Amino acid sequence: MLCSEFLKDFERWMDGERTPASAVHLEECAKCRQLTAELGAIALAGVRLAEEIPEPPERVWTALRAQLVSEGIIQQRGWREWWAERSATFPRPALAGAYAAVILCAVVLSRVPTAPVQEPVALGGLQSPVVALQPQFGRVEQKQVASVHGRNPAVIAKCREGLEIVDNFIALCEKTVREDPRNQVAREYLYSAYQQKAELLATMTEQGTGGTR
Amino acid sequence: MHSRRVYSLCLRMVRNTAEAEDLTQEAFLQLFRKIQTFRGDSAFSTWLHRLAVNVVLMRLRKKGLPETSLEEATEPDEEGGGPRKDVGGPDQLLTGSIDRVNLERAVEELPPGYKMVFVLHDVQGFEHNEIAEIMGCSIGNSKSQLHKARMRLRELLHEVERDKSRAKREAARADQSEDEDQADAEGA
Repeated sequence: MLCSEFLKDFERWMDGERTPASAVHLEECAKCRQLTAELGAIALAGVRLAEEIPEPPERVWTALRAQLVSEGIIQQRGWREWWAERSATFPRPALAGAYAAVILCAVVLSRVPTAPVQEPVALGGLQSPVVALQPQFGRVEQKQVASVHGRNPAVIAKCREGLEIVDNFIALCEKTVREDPRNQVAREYLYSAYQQKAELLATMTEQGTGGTR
Repeated sequence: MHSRRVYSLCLRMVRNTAEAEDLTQEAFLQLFRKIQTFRGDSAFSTWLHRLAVNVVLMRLRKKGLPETSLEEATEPDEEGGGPRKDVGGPDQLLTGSIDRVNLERAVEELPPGYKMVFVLHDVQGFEHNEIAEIMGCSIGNSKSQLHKARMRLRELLHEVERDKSRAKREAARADQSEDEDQADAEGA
């Protein structure tokens, strides 16, 4: 094989397509061998160049954020940080409150003599306001969880966790109220639990209507 | 990870820190503007680099710098229309590891099209099918341009070696003639 013939296939050789004839030529031809070695060295040296570049400076991201805010693509920094903080801390007070309320409720209920099981009938034939509100809470909950869905999985997980705790507590209080409609303590705890849930949903509403593009 | 690679690409193409920062910012701005168009047909890094390359090439066009289109025909040589045949360096070998500074300077001198493919493939490690997608060319063109880029870099690095050797020889000659002059003066 002549050098001219080797060079016709040289690009393929460098790409890894090796032919026996080219391999034989390389063994015999010092110049083509030098060419091959040098191009290989250049390719390897290129890899080392990648180690040289640092991270872009912080001002790039600051300017980018400002531009994104001015175009309305993202919200002001304060909102996102507020929400991140809120989502990190809000469930904890709610969880702590819910747990404390459950414990207190359990302590109180264990001391209150329960009346025999009655039919779950509202007092005076009127619907309990709590029971009447339940379907509305259910719809609002589904809507707000759906609106937050996909925005921040960690935040979603915390919200769901908080909602689950509060829902469990509501179920416990409702059961107690049904069993003993005259149990004022249980009613008060139930109203308090709905209030907590309403606050949690209100916070999610603010996040869901944060007004991204 | 993506930010460093995009910044690296921009910096190597324009060799100006402030401009590279500007281009990096512009590339990520495009990302946020167009993120909803990302379908997942290609890897995210490929898609992002496509945005970055377009931003860089547009900037180079605005500056009026000539680009080497990746669809251009192969440069004919004097003999008969095939690729340039340059077998082996004349006297010098690129021995040992190639000096990084010299390679950086040589890369700077490449035409933008060659430089882009070299940076994407040899520096950043993209495969030819990814480069073809990034640059909007065929795989064959990407391979061809890379080969030409490496050949050109080899020529440039050989020139550097020749210049160094010439400088050494001239320095040695100058030293020798000084010694001779001194010997003559002492003899006299």
